This record gives sequence, C-alpha cells and structure tokens, in this order.
Amino acid sequence: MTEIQMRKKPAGVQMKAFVRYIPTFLLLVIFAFLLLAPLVWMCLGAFKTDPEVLSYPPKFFPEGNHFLENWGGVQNTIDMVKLGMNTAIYAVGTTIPAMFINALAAYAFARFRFRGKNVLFLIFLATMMIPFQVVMVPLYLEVYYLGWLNTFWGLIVPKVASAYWIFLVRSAFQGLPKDLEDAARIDGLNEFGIFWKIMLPLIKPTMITVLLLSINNCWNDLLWPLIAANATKMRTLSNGLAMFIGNRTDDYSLAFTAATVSMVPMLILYIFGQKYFVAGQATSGIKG
Amino acid sequence: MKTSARQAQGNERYRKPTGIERRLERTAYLFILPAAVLLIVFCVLPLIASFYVSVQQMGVDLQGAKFVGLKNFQKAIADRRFLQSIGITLRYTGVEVPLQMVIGVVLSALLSKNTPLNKLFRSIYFLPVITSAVTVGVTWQLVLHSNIGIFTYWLKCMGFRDVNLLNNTSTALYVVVFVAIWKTFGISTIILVSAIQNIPESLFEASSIDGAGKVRQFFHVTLPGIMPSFWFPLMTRIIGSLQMFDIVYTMTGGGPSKSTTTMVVYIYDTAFNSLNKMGYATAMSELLFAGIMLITVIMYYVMDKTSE
Amino acid sequence: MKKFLALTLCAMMLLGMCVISASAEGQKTTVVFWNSWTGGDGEALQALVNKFNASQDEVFVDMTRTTSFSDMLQTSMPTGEAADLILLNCNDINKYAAYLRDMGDIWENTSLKAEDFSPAYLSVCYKDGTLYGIPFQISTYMLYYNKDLLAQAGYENPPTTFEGWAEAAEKITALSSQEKPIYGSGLFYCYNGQNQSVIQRFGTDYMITGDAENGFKANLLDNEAFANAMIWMKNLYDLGLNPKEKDIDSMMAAGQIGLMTNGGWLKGALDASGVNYGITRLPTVSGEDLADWSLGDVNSFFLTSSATDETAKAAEKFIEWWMTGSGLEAQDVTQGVDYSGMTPNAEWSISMCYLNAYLPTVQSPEYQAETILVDLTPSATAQVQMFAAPGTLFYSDAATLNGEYVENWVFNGPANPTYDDVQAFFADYQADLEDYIAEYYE
Repeated sequence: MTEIQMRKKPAGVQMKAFVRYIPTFLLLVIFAFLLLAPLVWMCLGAFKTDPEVLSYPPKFFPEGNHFLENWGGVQNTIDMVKLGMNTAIYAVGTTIPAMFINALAAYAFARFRFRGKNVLFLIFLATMMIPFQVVMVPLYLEVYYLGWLNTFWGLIVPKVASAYWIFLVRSAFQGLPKDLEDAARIDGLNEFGIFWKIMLPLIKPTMITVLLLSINNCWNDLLWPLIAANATKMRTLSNGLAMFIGNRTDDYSLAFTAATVSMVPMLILYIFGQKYFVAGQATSGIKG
Repeated sequence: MKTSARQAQGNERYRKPTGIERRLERTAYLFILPAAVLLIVFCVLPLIASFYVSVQQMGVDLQGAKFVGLKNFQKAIADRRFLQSIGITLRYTGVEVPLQMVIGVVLSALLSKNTPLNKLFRSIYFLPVITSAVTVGVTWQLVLHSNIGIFTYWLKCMGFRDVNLLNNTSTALYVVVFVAIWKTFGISTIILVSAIQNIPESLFEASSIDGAGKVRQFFHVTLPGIMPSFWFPLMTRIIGSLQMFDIVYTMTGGGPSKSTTTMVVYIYDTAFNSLNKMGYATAMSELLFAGIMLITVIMYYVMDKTSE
Repeated sequence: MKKFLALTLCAMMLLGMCVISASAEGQKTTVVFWNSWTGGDGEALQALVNKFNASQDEVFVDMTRTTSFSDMLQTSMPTGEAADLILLNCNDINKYAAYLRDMGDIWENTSLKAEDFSPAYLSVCYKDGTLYGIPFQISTYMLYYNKDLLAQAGYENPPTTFEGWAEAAEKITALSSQEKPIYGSGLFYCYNGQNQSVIQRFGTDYMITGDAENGFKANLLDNEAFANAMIWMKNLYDLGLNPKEKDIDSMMAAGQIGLMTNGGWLKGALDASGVNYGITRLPTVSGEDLADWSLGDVNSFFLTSSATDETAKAAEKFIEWWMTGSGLEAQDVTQGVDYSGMTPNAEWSISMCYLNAYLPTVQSPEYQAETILVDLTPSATAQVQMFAAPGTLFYSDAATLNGEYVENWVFNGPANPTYDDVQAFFADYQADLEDYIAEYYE
C-alpha cells in the first residue's frame, strides 16, 4: 500500500520519506535484535557442547554440530515424543472447548442486555485477579475429590473457562455493527445461529489469537500439570523440561536442546497461524 | 461503526424488558452458563476454601489446623519482609506497565500498515510470547551472567565496565522488568495494531488535510482511536505484573538481597518452605487479591471517566 | 482458516490417542520414586535405577526427578497420591512427619541390619523412637580447586588454612587479564550450604543449639568463630577476590574460579566442562582437621504414607538392592572408573564423592582406596549435621534467613570490619532467629 502511494509521489518526496523512515527502521531493527538474540543463542545452545556454552570468552555460534549427542542425552532422561503427545492432548483438549465456551459467554456480554450484566462481568474479571498460587491447594483437593487426579479430565476441565479469553473476545464482538444481527434475525436465524454462523466467523483473527495463545499457555504451563498429574505416564513437556532447567541446572546444552525441541511445535503452529492474526483484524473487512 | 467499548457495555439504565428482550435475556444467561459454572467451581470455590485456610494456623500438609482468627492478617501487616515485597511489587508494576504500554503503542503505530516488512517485524516481536517462562528465565540469566554472559561480554567489548546487572540490588528488578516486557509486549502490540487498523482511514486523511504532522496525528487520531482497546492489555498487564512470579523465580530466585522478591514469590516461599505457614501465606495472598481488586476497580472508574 | 484449524487439531488429537493406548505396565509392583536430584547426579541415579529394573522382574521403580519436588510432595501427600519412595534431607523429617511411613519393619523384611549403619547417621532418621528413613548419602561439602590456576599461581597443593585460601585467592586473581577475568575465590553468599560449610570449619558450634526438650537457642552473638568467618568472607569480597555472582558453578566450569566449596553434585558438570579440577577437604583456621564435625547433612530414603503394604515392601527390596546388590556391569558414570563388582551404594558414593553410612560399604577395599572419602570421614562420635542441632522444626526458615543475612553483611557491611562490627550487624539476625524459634515453640 505504501509502495503504491510512494510511487505516485515525486522523486524528491519519495527520497525524503525514505530518509525519514531510517530512524524508525533502525529502532525496529534494534528491537528485533534484542528480541531475537537471546532466543537464537538459546537455540544454538542445542548444537554446542557444555564447555562451549559455559566458556570465557562466550561464544555465539557453535563450533561443531553436537545436536545429536545432546538429543541422545535428553532422550536418555525423558521421552520427548511421549511428553509432547501428552502436552498436545492437554493443550488441544483445553483449547477447543475453551474457544467455544468463552466465545459464547463473551458474545453474551458484548451483545445482549440482561439483568446483573455488569456485576456478573466484574465477578468474571475478579477470577482473573486470583493468583494461582492461592487456589492451588484447594483446587488440587477439589480435583482429588472428583477422582480426576492423574487424568486428562483433571488437567483440562479446570483450565477451560477463562476470564482472560472472555475479556479478549468480548472486545472483538463489541466492534461488530448491530445491523448484522438484526438482518440475521429478520432472516429467521435463532440466536445461536447468529452467533455461530454470522458473528463468530467475523472475529476470526481474534479467535486465531485465542487459539494460539491458549495452546501456548497450556504448552508452557508448569505448575498445574505438575501437581494435578504427577504420574510419569501423564508427564507434560514443561515438567520434563523442569528436570533439566531450574535452580540447579548444570547441563546447559541438554537443557537448551530440550527447550529448543519443545518449542518447535509451537513455532510451527505460530508460523501457520501468524498470517491470520499478525495481519490484524482489518482483514475482517467490516469497517464503520 | 465506532461502537466504543463503553457504549456497548450496556451502561444504559435498566428498564422493564419487552417480550423479545426477555427472550434475549434468557438466551444470554444460557450462553454464559457453561463458563460461569466452570469459573465458579474451579476459581470461586477454591477461593472461598482459601478464606477458611487463611484464618487457621496450618502447614501445607493441612494437618493440625488451629483456628487463629485474624491473627495471620495482623501478622502480615507487621511483617517487614511482606511490606518490603509489596513495595517491590508496586515498584515493578509502576515501571513495567507504563513502559510496556508506551512501547506497545509506539511500535504498533509504527507497524500498523500492512507492508511485508512490518509483517515481518510483527512476527519477530511476537516470537518470545511462545517461549516458556522457565526457559526464558534460565536463558536470560545466562545471557546476562556477570562473567560468561554473551550480552555482558558484548557490552564489555563496547566499552562498558563492570557490567553486573543481575547481582546488583539497584539493577536486578529492572532486568526483571526488561525480560518481562521482552516476553509479553508482543501480545499488546498485536492487539493495538488491530485497534489502529480499525480506525477509519478517513480520520487520518482528514487530519492530513488539516496539515497535521505524523506526531500530531499520533496524538490526535491514533491515541484516541485505540483508547477503547487499550483497556484490555492495560488491565491484563497490571494484573499480571502484580502477580509476577515465574520469571523472577527462575532468573533471580528473588535475590540479590531480596531485591526482586515480589509478593507472590514471598508468599510461595512462605507456603512451601516453612513448616506451618500455609495459613499465613494464604492470608497474605488474600491481601494481594484484595489489593489487585482495589487497583482494578480504581482503574475501571478512571478509564470510565476518561472515555466519557 | 477452517482447514488449518481442523488439520492441526486432528493431528494433535491423533498423536494423543496413540499415547493413551500405548501405555501399559506389566504385573510388576510399581514403586513410584520422587527426588530432587536434578544435577549431574540425577542422571547417574537414573542409570542405577534402570539397572535395578533390568536386574529382576518383580519390582519396577518409576523415578521422577524434578526441581519442583516440594510442590509435588506437599500437595499430594495429604491425599495419599504422593510417591511411595522419596529422598529427603533428614532435617525435613519434622516437616513431613505426618505423612511418613514407619520403616521399622525393614529389618525383618530384608537382609539389612540396623547394626550395619553408622549409628550417628541412622539416629537422625528416627523421630520419637520411630525409624522413618534409611541413609542414602551424606552430602558433604568439599574444597573444589582449579589445578591449573593453582599451579600458575605457584602452588603445588591447595590451601589447608583459611589464611592460605585468602593468599592463594589473591595470587590467582592476579592471573586475571583483560581477555579473561579470574577470581581466586568463589563463594556465593546467599547459598546457605556454602556459607555453613565455611563457617563450620572456622570452628563454631551449631548456629542453632539445643534440643526439643530444653529448647533451641540462636548461637550468633558472641560466637567468635562465626564472627571470624564473617570477617574473612567480607574481606575476600572487598579485595575483589570473590565475584559478586550467584552462578559460581558456571564460572568454575568456565575455568574462572580458583577455589570454591560445593558438594558432589557439581562433579558431573565439571567433568563435562574439561576443567582440570581437584577435590579435597575444606581448610580450617589452624590447618588441622575438625573431625568432630560433619560437613554435610544426611539424605535418606523415606517411605510415605501414600505407599501401600505391597509397594512399601517392594520399595524396601529396592533399598536392599541399593545397599547389597551385586553383579553390576561396568558403566561409565564418571572418569572412566570401572565400577563392576561393587554395590550400587558403593558405586554411588565413590563416583559422586558422597560419604556413606552403610558400614559394609565404608569398610570395602574400594571405598577405603578413595583417599578423599577416607579423609572426609568425621570421627565416629561427630555431630552429623552442619547448621542446626537435629530436631529443629524451623530448619528451612533458618537456612533461608542465614543466606539472606550473610549476603547482606558481605555486600553492605562496613569495610575492614572488626569483631564489634559483626556483633552490631548481626543483632537483628539474632533477634529474627529467636522470633522464629519462639514462633515454633511457643
């Protein structure tokens, strides 16, 4: 878009615009560098030996490729593939119902008028303010009484409803014009139909964002899986990682290998998903 | 469209519903029901249970509970370390949230146009969001290590002397701020980019015709335009900052000299390190919860006032 | 978008299904075993557990090692969902007492005999006359030194006195260059174990003395040895011989530290790092050993109340194997030593440099051939703990407190401190510690 605009302008203006863009560009590049350097350094750690990670002067690039050795070391301790699958069930099992249930509630808060709406919404928001550490032990006991310890039920069900997602999705729904639902109502669609067929598809970028962030949250969740599913067969990736990384890490190359590999599925998901949400909501094409 | 968040929230006074409205009301309750049930069972109930714990003296093993009334709360108010952790948490929040929001707004304004380069930058900025806090903590700890850290080394090569960011009481908290922003500002940026893109192009054009420069345009068009969407990242960041735990725990462990011991870190250590302080730790977390509530409600009204 | 959604979800779900169907363990009795051995020693421990699992087909030990050990334990113990078998510092016996299982029947169920354990170490596994644990290792603190750096500084042997430590630290620090900073001494002042091991060697009694019957007392003010240790530490730091850094282990592995104190769990990382290091006894003030004090706490096997009679018996079998098992094949835990023919217990002690409480192991020729282990062994009547007298309820609190105060002293205390400075600075510490004691024993 900018390119087309630029081309229309005379060469002098174009030059000037370019020069004025340089500081902005530099700023963006510096930020990008600060963001990427530690991540890349960590990933490169998967290819280094331990003395290479802990050496002075520190090295950024590995000297050889020791990935396979490190990977073998990781596999000796934890079965990354199995842990990855457990984590996938936890993440997907939580995210799918979460997207549906939270979007439904968010829709009601955004589009309907009903008694006690503000109070209810504030109560919902308040649940966001409870530090997890506060409710950890009571929640654990609750799941125990339900007989759900060391099952995917126990892992997933308490994590499904989230005021955070309701809050996020609600603001997306609020941006949609009122005429849409009126038109649909005249067409004879019931309320659920309006929500499901008309409104939900319109906030696709937001839903993709929720999908990605929710899967990501579960993927990196440490505390809850740790206590609610402590059996070896239920172990998730982040708990496997906790065997290498923590307050007594001393095999950094293995730690970074495990961390890098466990990041790969999220990275793939991100690369596929990013064109939807990085592009922003403008793509939904309903501007006022 | 321009239905601002505030209008749509239904602040209009409640009047007697008509037939169709009553039907819609029922539907609304039905829509909210599943989420409400889950939140009540798995958030509110445990919270109520924790009120019970907070008036007891008991260990994490929940054995030998002894009713002590409000003694735990009295103790918390007199606990020097707890008060110190409140100060640290407030200082942390006071720096992290404004900084994160400013960076988020400025970057999203710079990146709002959908050019390929901007899309690339947006993707990069979002990348740290998908990493786990534990990994982030350990990585940054090593990157900023006073001796073998690669960032420290680069800074040394650039002429800085005695770079020891993580082990000085004066800098450690700000390193945590930096890393927390590093990890989360991608979300704020993405949300704000969407908000800017939703501002009608005509407003920008109008201000251009009026002869407004880029900077004035930013203050007069962009900022007011994104105000309704500002609420979500702001609120979630305030709550997240007041509950800061994981990055501190893996990166500094609360040190040096307790200078990064935030409230949740202190509460967590008290609950799980000591023999019989589960009740006390829970009482402190109730206070934290109340504090977050208070700040949120104040923010809510401030936002309400400013957007009117 | 729908396609993308559907595809990812399907793929992930399918993967998940495979897992559920694939997990099935045979009719063996499974003993769930948790510990917090996440350093290099954890891998070695896992290797030994694997050997046990392969050596017989009645019991399967399912081991999890994690840094979040206490979270896992403390949430699951009240519901009976915790591990059957755990490794625990004996100081924590009071913390978990309600959920530990009486282990007295191990003498009938297995061939192990109480007489075979060093009485001092076994005694801390008892609480109120009931046996709850079997000693697993004594996590002794030792002097780690970089041989190359010492040699460059003109030393053949590591220092045996603290004065010598300071002198060597100065010479080693002088080797520092623009390209590579080097520190002669590497103490991390917030790390209670490191502090305590040094303070102990200055010749102090426990920092918390007494017993449950007569009450406990903080032993800080007017404690000369403690004050001397504080002055010594402070001076090291002020002279720039000790870095202000919490991650000393990584610097040691990078070859930037001359002398430090740590336990056997550092060995694995140093072996991997290729640093030419040695281990020996920590110095003392006079250079003579203080054999009446142990420099480490006892860690023991404990059974939890989550264990059933069946899993408890199976776990005892594993402990029996750990002490007496044989027929092991050689394996390269560390430094290419051949451990075949040794008991797992002996292999563990020797390869990891942990003192042992099981007398047949201690008397074995292999163990006696390890000069460092023999050298570190305290006298038979020695006190077996490092920091607090056995039986305190507030051990963890006090340990955290100590790290906090020592660090604060070193970083913020007065320069060139005198004995009186220490007394003034630690008046708060004494009061704080006494508050804790009062709180627990009111």
